[in-house]
Amino acid sequence: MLAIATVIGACSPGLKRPSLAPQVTSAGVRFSLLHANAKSVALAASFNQWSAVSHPLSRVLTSAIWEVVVPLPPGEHLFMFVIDGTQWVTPPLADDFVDDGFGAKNGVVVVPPIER
Amino acid sequence: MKLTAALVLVATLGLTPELAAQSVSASEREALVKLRVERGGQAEDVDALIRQADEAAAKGLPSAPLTNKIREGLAKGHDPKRIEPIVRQMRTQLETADQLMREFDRDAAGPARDASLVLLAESLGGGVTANDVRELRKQAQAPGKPSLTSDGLANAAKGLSFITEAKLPVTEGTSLVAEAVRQGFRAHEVLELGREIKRRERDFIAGRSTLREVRAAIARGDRPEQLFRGRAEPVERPAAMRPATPDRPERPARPERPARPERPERPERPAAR
Repeated sequence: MLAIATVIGACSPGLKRPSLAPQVTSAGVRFSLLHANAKSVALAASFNQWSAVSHPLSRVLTSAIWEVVVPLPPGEHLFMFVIDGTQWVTPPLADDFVDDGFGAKNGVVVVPPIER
Repeated sequence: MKLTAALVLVATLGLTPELAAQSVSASEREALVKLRVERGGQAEDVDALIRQADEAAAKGLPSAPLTNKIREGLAKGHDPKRIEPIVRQMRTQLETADQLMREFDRDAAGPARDASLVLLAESLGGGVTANDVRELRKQAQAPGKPSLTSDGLANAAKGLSFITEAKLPVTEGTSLVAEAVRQGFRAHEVLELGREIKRRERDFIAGRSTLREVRAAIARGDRPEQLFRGRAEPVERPAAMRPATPDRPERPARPERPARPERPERPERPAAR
C-alpha cells in the first residue's frame, strides 16, 4: 500500500513527489531513478571508474523507484545509470549535463565544499 | 622546499622524474584489457589508448583523467578507435593547460597543481581558449592584491567555460567572471556562478537577463546568493534534454491501441432546405 502511495505520489501532479534529482544528504548523495520494468539498475560514474556493477541501486519497497546513497567528496562527479547491465541511460535529472564525447550525455552532480 | 622533497623522493626510489610521474599501473592496464576482452575485443586493442596516458604521464601530466575516459569509453562498449581521438584531444588540453600554468605560476607543484591543471584542461574542453584564460587572468588581477593563484585561475576559467557552453559572449563572460574574482568570490562560488548562468541560459538568450546586468550587480557588491534572488527558478536541465513536461517520471510504454474499425459510409443526406 505504501509502495503504491509512493508511486502515486511520484506520478500525480499536485501531490508532493520525491525528487529524482541527485540529492546531497548527510549520509552521501542519493541517486534515484524511476524505472518500472528494470530488473537491475546500477550507477556508473567517474568516481567508480564507470563500473556497471560496483554501485547497484535498490528498489524502494516494491515501487518503481530505484535508489542508492553514495558518500562522495566535494566536487563535480559525472554519472549515468545502467539498466539490466547493458543499457546506459542519461539520468533524467541532474545538476548539469555534459557531452561524454561518444554522442551521449553524462549527468553531473555537484557536492558543495564543507563550510568551515 | 616541496621541490627538494620531491627530488629526494625521486632519488631515494631511483627513478627518473619521467618514470616518477604517475603512469598507467599494471592493475589499471589489466582492468582496461579485461573490459575490452569482455566485449569481444583483443587485449592489444587498448594499447594505443594506454600509450596516450603513458606519454602524458611521461611529460609530468596527470594521467588519471585520461585513464578514466578510456574506462568510460570501454565500459560503454565503444570501439577503441572511437575512444582514441577523444583521449588524444584531452591530452592536448592537458598539455595546453600545463603550458598556461608554467606561464603564470612556475612554482606550483604537487597534487594541488595537478587538480588546477585538470580543471583548467576541462575549461579548455568546454570551449575556453588559452587566450581567453590569459585575458581572464589579466582582468581578474585586482591592483595591489596578491597574484591570482593557479587554483583561483583554474576555477575562474571553469566558471567561464559554463558561460561559453551556454553560447553566451565570451568577452562579456570574461569581464563578469573577472569581476567576481576581484570582488572576492570564493573559488566554488565562481564555479557556481558560471553554472547558474548556464542553467538560466534561456533567460540570457531571450534577453530577460544580461551578463552586463549580473556583472554590474557583482561590482555593486552583491554576493553570490543575492544575484538571482527573486528571479524565477531555472529548469533543472538544459532545454535540449527536457521532455514536454518537465520532471515527469518515466511511464511504461502505452499498449498500442487497436485499430479503429472503419465506419460504414453514411447514406447521403438530402439537401437542406
